[in-house]
Amino acid sequence: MSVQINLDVMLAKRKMKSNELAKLIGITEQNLSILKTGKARAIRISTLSLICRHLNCQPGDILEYLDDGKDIRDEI
Amino acid sequence: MQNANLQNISVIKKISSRLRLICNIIFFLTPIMTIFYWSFYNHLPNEYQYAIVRQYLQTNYLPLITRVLCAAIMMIPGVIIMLASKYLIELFRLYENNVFFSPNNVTYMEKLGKIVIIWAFMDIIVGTLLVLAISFNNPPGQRYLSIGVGSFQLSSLLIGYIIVLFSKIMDEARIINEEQQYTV
Repeated sequence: MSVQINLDVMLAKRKMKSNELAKLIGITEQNLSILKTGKARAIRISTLSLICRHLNCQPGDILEYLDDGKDIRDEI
Repeated sequence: MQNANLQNISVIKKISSRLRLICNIIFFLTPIMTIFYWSFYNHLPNEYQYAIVRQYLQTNYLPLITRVLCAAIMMIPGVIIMLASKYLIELFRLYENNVFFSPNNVTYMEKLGKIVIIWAFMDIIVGTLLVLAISFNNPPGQRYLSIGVGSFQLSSLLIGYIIVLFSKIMDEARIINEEQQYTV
C-alpha cells in the first residue's frame, strides 16, 4: 500500500516547471524530485499547504492511495 | 543554532583527522614493533622484557627459534590491533566527511565491537601459547602450560559488547536520519 504523489500532472495542468515550484515553496529541486519520484517517506503539512497554494489545488488532487499489495513497513 | 551546529561539525572533523592519523601510525607500527621487539629481545633492559619469560625460563636468554615463535604468536593480537585500527581509520574518515549515520558507519562500529570481543578470547589463547613457546626448550619436566583469565580479558569483553550495543543504537539513528533525509 502506498500513497502516490501526482505532482507532474498538476504541474502540467498549471503549466509550471518543477524548479519554479521548488523556488516558490522554498525547497531545493532535489527535494522536489524526491517527491516526484516517489522516494519521499514523509511530507510536512507546511510543504503540502504551500504546494496546494501555489498550484491552486486540493491535497486530494496530488495525493492518491494505491494498494499494490506491499506493506509499507517492509520498505522502511 | 546553525553556528553551534557548524562549530560542532568543525570539532568532529578536527578530532577525527587527528585520531585517524594516530590509528594509521598504530596500524603500520604494530607489525614493525613486534618484529623489532623480539629480534632484539635479548638486548633489552630487564624492565622492557616480559615478566613471564623470567618466570618460565631457566635463563633470561631466548634462542632464535623461540623468539621467532613468540613473534609469530604476538602477531595474533597484532593482527587484531591492525584490524581494529583499520576499522577506526574508516570510521574517522567518514566522520571527517560529515557522514555520521550511514550504513557504513554502523558496519564499521559493529565490526570494531566484534574484534574487541575476539581480542578478549584470543588474549587467553595467546598467553597460553606464549608460555608454551617460552618453556619449550626447557628440560623435560620443566615445560609449562598456563591458562589465565584476568581483568584485562573481562574488561575487553565488556567494552566489546558495549561497542556492539552502540552500533545497534547507531543503526536506529541511521533509520531516523534516512527518514529525515526523505522528509520533504
